[in-house]
Amino acid sequence: MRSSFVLLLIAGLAVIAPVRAQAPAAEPKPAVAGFEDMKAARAALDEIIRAYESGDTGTIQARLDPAMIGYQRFLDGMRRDSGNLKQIRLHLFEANVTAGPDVAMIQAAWEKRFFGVADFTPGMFTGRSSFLMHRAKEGWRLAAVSGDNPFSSESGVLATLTVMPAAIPLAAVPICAGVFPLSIELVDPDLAGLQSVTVEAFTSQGDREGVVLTAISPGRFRRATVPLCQDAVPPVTNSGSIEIRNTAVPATLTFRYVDANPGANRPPATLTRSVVIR
Amino acid sequence: MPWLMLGLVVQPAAAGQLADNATVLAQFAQASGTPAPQLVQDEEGATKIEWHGGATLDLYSRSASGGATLTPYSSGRFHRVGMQSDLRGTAREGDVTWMQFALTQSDDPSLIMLGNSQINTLSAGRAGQGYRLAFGDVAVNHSSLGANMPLRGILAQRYFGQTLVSASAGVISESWEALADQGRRRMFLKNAYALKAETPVGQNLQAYATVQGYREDGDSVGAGALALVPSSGNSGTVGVNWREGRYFLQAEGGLSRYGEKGLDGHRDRALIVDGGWQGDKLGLRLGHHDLGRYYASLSGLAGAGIRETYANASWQATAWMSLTGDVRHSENRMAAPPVPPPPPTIPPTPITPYTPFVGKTEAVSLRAQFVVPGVPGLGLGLNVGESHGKSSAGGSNRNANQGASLSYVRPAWNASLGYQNAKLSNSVAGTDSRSDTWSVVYGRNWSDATEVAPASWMVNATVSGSFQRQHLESGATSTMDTYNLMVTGERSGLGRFGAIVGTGRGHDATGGDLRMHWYQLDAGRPLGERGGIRVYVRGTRNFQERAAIAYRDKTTGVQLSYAF
Repeated sequence: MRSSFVLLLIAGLAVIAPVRAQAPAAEPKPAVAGFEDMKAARAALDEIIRAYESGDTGTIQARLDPAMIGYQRFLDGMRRDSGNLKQIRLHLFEANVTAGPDVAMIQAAWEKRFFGVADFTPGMFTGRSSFLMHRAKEGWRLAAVSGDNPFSSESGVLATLTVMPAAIPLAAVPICAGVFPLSIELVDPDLAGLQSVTVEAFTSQGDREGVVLTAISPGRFRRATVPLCQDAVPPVTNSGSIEIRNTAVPATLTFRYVDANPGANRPPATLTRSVVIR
Repeated sequence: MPWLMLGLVVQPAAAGQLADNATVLAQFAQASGTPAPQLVQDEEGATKIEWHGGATLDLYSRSASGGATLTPYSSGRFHRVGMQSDLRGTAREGDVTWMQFALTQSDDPSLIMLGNSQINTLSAGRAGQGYRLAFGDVAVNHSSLGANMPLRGILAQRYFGQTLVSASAGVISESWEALADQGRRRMFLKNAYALKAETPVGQNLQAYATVQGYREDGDSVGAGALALVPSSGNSGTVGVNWREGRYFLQAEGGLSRYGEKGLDGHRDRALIVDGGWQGDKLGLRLGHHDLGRYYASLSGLAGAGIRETYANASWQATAWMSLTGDVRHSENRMAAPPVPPPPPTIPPTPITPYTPFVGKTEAVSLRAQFVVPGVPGLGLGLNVGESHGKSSAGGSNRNANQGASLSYVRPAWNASLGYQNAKLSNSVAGTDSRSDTWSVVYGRNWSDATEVAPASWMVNATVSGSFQRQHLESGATSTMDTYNLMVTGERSGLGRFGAIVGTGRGHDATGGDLRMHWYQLDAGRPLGERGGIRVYVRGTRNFQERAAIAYRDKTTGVQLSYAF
């Protein structure tokens, strides 16, 4: 990838000459954004971040274009965060700024730390966003957030699904009906406030079950054990237990979660994690 | 695909006709809705080279505690080097060739988590009348439903007569470092292209068409690093921009195809229409957006699964009153699970509805600004808003907020008093809440400025307080009162200083005591004409009485800077 990109740049530079030859004489100085534009756009974004942390949605609303797609979803999610999360601190890092004459696109990683309103349990979400800033008459305005949206629940952050361990020896799997210590964790900030969430489990042998994970902090759901067992007979779907036919291993156990709102203006995205049983 | 783009650039360049200045400026004004830039003639006969840049070096020591869940900071001695360079050459005919570069190098993991250097900007190109060619970090800004995102690659734009053709290709990646190093990738690399052609149709109408697509490289991240299934998407859009007198209209429609590797694909469509009328004292805007849940594009503006209709008005009713109102209906179709959840569960407990507070939402808001003609500097702002949502699962929610702000600004001092009230309620038991927040600010400044001479020194002091009470449906209450004092000063030729000290106290909904303290001191002075030095110390101590949530940090450092 690196070498092809260098070639791309070299080839592109070679193209400048013929294009330049077409340039007419006595023409205007074209606008090229400079570091001052980037700095001003970043300052406007920082102001919005500080307003979000302090729950000042009025200031943010005044800086949004009413034609922004998803305007109300953005505002409602922000208000809900303001009510449900306390002491929000949004830390941006690894920023990269791309600017055009009247547009600035700030890519950055972020960490959002907060405390739940009910019991002051600390929580943290992470993500990576592109903040699209447009220059308007009154200064730089936030036009959109793509990627993971740090500002409001339900506006879209890609979930993470973790399953441990990744491989299980068949000998460790109990005879039906038993329980196996398999850790499943789902982090989906869009679901902050829910008490539980269901992920789908299916095996290469045809079993298919739903597994409920319980919230341990806003948007973070976990389960330490699953009813996984082995038997000599074929599995029965939707039986409440994930059955592995021990005469037909190795088998693959896959957990699937559909993130309905994964951010990045991406349609619903499917997350999967697989465990090999051999 | 990049090679195809280069081909597109080379071929037309040999035969194309460039638009004249007036045409380009008229099209700019019509497309952007803003006045066209004025042309500035340089001194003749020379290429003007400008090089601006700067460098900063920070050396600092930090002690921190609390753990990663509570604070991004860690203890140690760190450095941060920031460099930026902006080199431009302006030819006699006005064409600009540029090369911009900015880099941060640091061993502080709160600045750069993976590795120790980060390219903040890398861009080069050339732009002149009727064309633009850019490499590196390029901002592709084709349309709302087409392509509108940062890309690491190439962008080429050129007028052929009055038709603008824009082509881009490259890779969407988290950073340059992630592009070069698989170990720093947290997302798939996305290979993307975008094309746009735009032409005037008559005097007041611009019509355009776009085509774009992407494909995620499933092998670009390590095995098992990402649970996501790689996807691909292609879309095409057509749109118009119309402006005549005080009326304007922008409309675009698109079709897309989206697929995840190994799963069924989806076709979907999108439509946006935004229009309005702008008078001297009254502005009206109306719009409708309808984007399918599976609409796939390269635009950060195009949030999928949204259907909304709005009306917005801004009215300068009198010399002392202006009003802004907004009414909208929106549907969030990303709220519902896209596939039916499996019916039985392990264990067989009831499934919480996916999310009860989204679906269809009706919202209204009104802002008013008043000034008192007889009392210069006195202003009053009022705002009120409410939204009511219902989900297809039967859940409902209501958000209501009201606020007022009274401010008085005099040459030597200012003061303001604010109040905000927010109510959140929904059909899920035990989650309603109401917040009341009062804020007060008083600022004072001193200087030796006179009516004929600027100040040689100045000092500003601002004291502020914020008092919040949140009442939960369970009957519990949480509070937080904060006080902040900020003093800044500057003496010309000598330097500047700043000091902030603050404290907060309250309790959470369980009754647990909450105490916070923070401070910041910094002072700087110039070193010669272009350099500077600054020393700083800042720290926070939060919730030290509660071991489970206690965190603190203290940073002491010095910064050297040079700009040219």
